[in-house]
Amino acid sequence: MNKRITSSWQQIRRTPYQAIAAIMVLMLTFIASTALTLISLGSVKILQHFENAPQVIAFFASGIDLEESEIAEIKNQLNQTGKLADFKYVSTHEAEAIYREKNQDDPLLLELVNYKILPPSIEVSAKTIDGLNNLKVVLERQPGITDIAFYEDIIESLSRWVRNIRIFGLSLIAYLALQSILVIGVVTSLKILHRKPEIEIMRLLGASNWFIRWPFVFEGMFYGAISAFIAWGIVYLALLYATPFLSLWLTEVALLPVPVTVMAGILAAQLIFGALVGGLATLLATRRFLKV
Amino acid sequence: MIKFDKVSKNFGQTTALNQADFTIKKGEFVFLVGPSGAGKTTILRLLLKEIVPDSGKITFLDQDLSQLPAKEIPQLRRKIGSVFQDYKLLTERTVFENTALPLEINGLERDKIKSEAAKVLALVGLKNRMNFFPAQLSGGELQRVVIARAIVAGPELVFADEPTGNLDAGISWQIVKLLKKINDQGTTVIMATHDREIVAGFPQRVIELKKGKVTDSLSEK
Repeated sequence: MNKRITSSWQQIRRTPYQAIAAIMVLMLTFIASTALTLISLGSVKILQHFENAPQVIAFFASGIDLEESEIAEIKNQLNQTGKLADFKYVSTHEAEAIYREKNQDDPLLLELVNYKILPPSIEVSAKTIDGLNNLKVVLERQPGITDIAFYEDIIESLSRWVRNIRIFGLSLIAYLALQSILVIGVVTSLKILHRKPEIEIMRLLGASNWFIRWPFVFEGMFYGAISAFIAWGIVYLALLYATPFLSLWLTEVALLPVPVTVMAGILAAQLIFGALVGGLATLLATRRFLKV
Repeated sequence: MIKFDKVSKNFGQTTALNQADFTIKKGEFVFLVGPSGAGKTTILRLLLKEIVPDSGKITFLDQDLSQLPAKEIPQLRRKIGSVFQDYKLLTERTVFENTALPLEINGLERDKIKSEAAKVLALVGLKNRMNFFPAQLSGGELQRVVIARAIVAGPELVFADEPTGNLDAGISWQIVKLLKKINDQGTTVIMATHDREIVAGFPQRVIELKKGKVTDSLSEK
């Protein structure tokens, strides 16, 4: 096995430009797949954030808190729908505290507002998005309701985005993977043609197809794995560079920095994917060009 | 060990073998003589199943080669140590690596490969050349590397196709003596040659080929 890996390494060293070309083309595939994996994971996380956040907020008349019994009655009615996941009553004082915390850097805004002009609210979330409408209907029936904020559309829209990103991402990765397989296939075919006399000699000496094929397969796997590693490094560096900016933009979603374990997992997956793409491409090329 | 039973092979209009009929027993040293184009190389190619006969039957080690499935051809070839007329050495590998190739193909361990290849290179007198590349060797040395490669894996048969073709008389005799030494160790040796002097000076069984026909068989002395 070591001898075959050494033989693969010799082949790579003898044709460095072919190796560089193959690695560069493959890198595009892995940059795209690493970036799309991160975007896909991130969008799922954003979707989860919105799903877990209060999805319906019912506001009552400003400055007048609800009685305990009224809150209990509303909660009871919501529970009866069987769709309620989370229920929270936010009093006028709590609303003021939230307001003050959010605007602590702006004394003018703090001066202007106190609990008397803030509405109490009930924040609820549903077990599934389908249940949101039932909760909304219950809340609309309650006396004293002034407004209802409803996030179903946002979440549905986000879900659609996540779905589309996945479909687009997978299609792009499939296309690039096919392109990579063809490029490695062409490089391998050239190498086989270049080494045809050597291969013929090996055959006459009794070498099996696999004995001849292994160095090519290892070479393809090497191209795949090294491209995946470099692409991962590039994407990770870009992500680290962009993290401060993205963190400002995604203030409410606990998404960044991406944990090292996640990046390590992506690296492992990409290395396996790379080795598979490289190995498969060379297998196909050797099957075509090494017929006995 | 080898039986050619009315074997014919044509390449287009050219007849390479015409009803060739002969048998070679295990442990024999046989000269296969005839002018260029007589069909000597065709016999080696048929034995290696590089080509198949148009008619007739070839048996090697009790195996009818026409019945041998394609996937077993590598095993067949490992039993034959071939000394090719045009050497067929890997130019980008050293003498040692060329010699070790059949052992690698047989899947031997690295240490075993090292010791066996070194032993055989010592036998053919090339131990001090093992790190040289083929381009750095003389004709006689190249031929000895090919012989070393042919015998290193302990084949049942060594088929030397014109091993003295490009060599001067002195070196040619060394090569023939080397092949005889291999034969003395129990390996069957077929040496194809058109050099009548060598055949005359080295009394062994001779099979003569002329225009693809075996004209003189079993002329054991």
